[in-house]
Amino acid sequence: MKYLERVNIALNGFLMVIGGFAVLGIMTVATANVVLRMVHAPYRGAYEVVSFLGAVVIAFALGYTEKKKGNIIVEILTERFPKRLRKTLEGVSCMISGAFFSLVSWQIYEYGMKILESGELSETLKIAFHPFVFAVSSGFAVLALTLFVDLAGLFVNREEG
Amino acid sequence: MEGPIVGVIGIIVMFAVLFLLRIPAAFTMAIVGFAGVVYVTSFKAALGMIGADMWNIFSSYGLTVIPMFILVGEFAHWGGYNNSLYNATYRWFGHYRGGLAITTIMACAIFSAISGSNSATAATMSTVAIPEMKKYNYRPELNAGAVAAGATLGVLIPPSIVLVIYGLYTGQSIGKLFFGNVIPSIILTVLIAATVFYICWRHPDWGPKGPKSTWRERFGALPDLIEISLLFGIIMFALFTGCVTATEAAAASCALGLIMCLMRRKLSWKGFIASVTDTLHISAMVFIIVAGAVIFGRFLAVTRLPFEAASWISTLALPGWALFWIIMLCYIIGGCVMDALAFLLVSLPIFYPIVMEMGYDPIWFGQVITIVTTMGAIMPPVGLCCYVVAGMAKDIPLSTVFKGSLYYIPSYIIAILLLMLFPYGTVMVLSNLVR
Amino acid sequence: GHAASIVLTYANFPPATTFPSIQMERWAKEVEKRTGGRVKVQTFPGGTLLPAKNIFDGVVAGMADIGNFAMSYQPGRFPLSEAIDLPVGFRNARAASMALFDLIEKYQPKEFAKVKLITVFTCPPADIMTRIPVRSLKEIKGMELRTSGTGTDVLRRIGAIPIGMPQSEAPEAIQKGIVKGNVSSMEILKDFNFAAYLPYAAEANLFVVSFAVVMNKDRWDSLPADVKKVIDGLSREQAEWTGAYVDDHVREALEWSKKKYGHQVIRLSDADQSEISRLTRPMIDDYVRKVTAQGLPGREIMKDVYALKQKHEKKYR
Ligand code: NA
Ligand code: NA
Repeated sequence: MKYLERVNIALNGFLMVIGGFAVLGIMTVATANVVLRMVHAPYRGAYEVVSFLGAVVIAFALGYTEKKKGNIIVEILTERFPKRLRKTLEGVSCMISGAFFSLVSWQIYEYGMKILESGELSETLKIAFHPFVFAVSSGFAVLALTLFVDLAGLFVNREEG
Repeated sequence: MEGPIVGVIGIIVMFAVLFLLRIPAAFTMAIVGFAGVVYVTSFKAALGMIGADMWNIFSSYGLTVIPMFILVGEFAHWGGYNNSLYNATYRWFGHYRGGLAITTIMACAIFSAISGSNSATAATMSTVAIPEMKKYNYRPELNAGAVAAGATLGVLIPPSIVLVIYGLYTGQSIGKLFFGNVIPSIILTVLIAATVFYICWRHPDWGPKGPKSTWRERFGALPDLIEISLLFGIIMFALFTGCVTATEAAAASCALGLIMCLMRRKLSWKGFIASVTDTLHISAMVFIIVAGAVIFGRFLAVTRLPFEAASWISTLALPGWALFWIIMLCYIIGGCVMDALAFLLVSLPIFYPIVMEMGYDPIWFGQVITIVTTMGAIMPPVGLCCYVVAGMAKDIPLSTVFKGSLYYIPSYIIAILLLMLFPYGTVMVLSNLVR
Repeated sequence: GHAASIVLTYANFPPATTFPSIQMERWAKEVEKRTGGRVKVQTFPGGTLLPAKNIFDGVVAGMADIGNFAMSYQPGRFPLSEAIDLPVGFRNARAASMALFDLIEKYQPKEFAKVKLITVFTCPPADIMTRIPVRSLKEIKGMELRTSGTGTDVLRRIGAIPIGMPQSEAPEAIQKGIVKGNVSSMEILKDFNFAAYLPYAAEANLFVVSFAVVMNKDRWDSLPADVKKVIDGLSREQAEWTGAYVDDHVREALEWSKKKYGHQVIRLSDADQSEISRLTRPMIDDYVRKVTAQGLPGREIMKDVYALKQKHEKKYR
């Protein structure tokens, strides 16, 4: 269990590093394009590159955000529930969400495969963009993993406590 | 079962799950929306939707403005610039009741003139304003409410994504829409600020008066503002005269802000890492809410509920003004249960012709619609701005944010009434100037 | 009589007022009429059911029964129809639509194997709409212009700076001066009110954007034979109707823009026209090389495109 937890945290951390570079990449590309436009030589692919990097930024932060419990829960009613019930609900929540995001990850992967196989290229730069799609897919996979590890954590704590 | 009924049941199920299951709101919308699409079409169809929709949202250029404007806010925050900004405003306005909340509203209005979306404004202003107001013992209801309501100015004040979409949809000039928006924006900003005064008059302890600073202290605080004003001035100048998109303006301000922080040795390595990390996870939180809203909206579209509801209303034999207010009500409810933009896209083709037939001015109607959908962003239970603020301010629960925001609802209604009573004086006087 | 026993959903991406959505409504009405009300078509304009780039896959998966999408916005995926998008100088949408229809009919490309093809059509040829008048090819050197599809490559080769962005972001970009004009078919002058900020247009017939309407195969197979017959019977007619409709609509939009905003159309000289052909010629060679490598008869396809263009343009001026 501890080992799984550590792997999960390391994975989230690794993705956050790449995401960090991507967000600085957006900053650099978009700023450079402003400067280039002033000298009448804008980079025609700036829109696309920024969009693709944006996808990486968000996808790679999903697992970390969940680990930090950064997603908002409506607690108006459940904060009055008994502690035991609340913990069970948390487990149910992790399970449903984990299953759902596994599906999402798988489907984004399928979508990427479709683009790869059909040879579809990006609109402006005419480059193969499936690696970015796969990146988003792996971001969701790590989110699902994080949810499952949290679920397992709930069980372990229950046995110990 | 009939499609629209499935839609209604879907909305009920969504709320039940939201309130009872402790699943994050964004996940709830996505999961219930997905399950609904499975029910109405097929599992295979829903699977195909989910993959492509997620990719489309994640790779949308318009949304990249969110991480950029959060990042500039983070640099300013970790570099200590917000401190100086708030310290200076406190010296000048702190001895008035709620002075910092008023400053926050004004800062939101300024940010809104750069950002087209209210979630970006909400996220940025939460980092900038809430910690400062907390420091001066402002009550969370006032802090969070002021930021949430102020952030709705993000989609109202141009550049506004809602107005651009409205313009494209109806073929109206974007220039006219933006110009027609100037007075309504001022009206609403003033009304929201007036609400702060009202709150502080009713609850004197919510935004306590500070000690009066000496003139020496007041002017002594000003040099701290030079750098941040310079940065701001450059962005504003670029946006209004120059040639940049909102994302580019945000990115350039990030770069400038970073350079400034480094030159003045204000940003430590730790602060830099924290800025980037915070930006990533806040952006992820905002994006996943948008994605949930889009998927839930997709489900409602498949059930045809929005289409059927709208066309049913249009067949009612009612006088024009009653019909108009029913349409307004639909937008308010729509704004409560789904993303305002998604609802706008679904409903405009049906409502727009009805409203035009009733003889209303299209530019004017665009302003009214924008204010109404904007109000949806702070209405419980799905108000996007409140979720963002609650997510940002870890120690303020969502219910407090909603409670604080409800004070501002009358502002929007008064603004709409003013627009209805004086359509020429509020909207057309400026929009008619545009060719 | 029969109540509507068959309900078909039809997904479309542009707003309800644009020509791809208007052809959708026309098709829906015709199908309902010709089947005696047995088939009802529920239309979803504005990307409410499926977003633009997911319409083809969404129809294959069954999210919608029918969908209309722009093949040109997914380069590489529909190699045959890319031949029609090349800068061969189509003069109107009617001829281009019919040429696209005949080309696909002849080659039966494998990219449509998973769906039932309902109809195809193109937008009118793209021209250069600008803030300041462009009177010769020289004047667009280094000018930033918004475009999409094949447009990026065409503009680059004739010396302009193409900026690929969605139509919806163009008005803001134009007003801020990020781009100095929009390269697209000219019905948008009225439909999206571009005439208000782009008072000039240089007629250049640069390229067209091709659209396809497809239906889910299982759904198609489930339809009764007489309904299938109605839909098949409408296929070619719909392509021609759409081309004719949008050509008329461009004329109407130009008159409207001239009356309302004093919009002015400039005709480029013959020398400039042939210079455009010369500069963009390598795109056609590239295309032939590319599709030949994929196992398609590139040279023959291009020969057919030119022949079909000539044939249909003789008929529709
Ligand atoms: Na704004
Ligand atoms: Na909170």
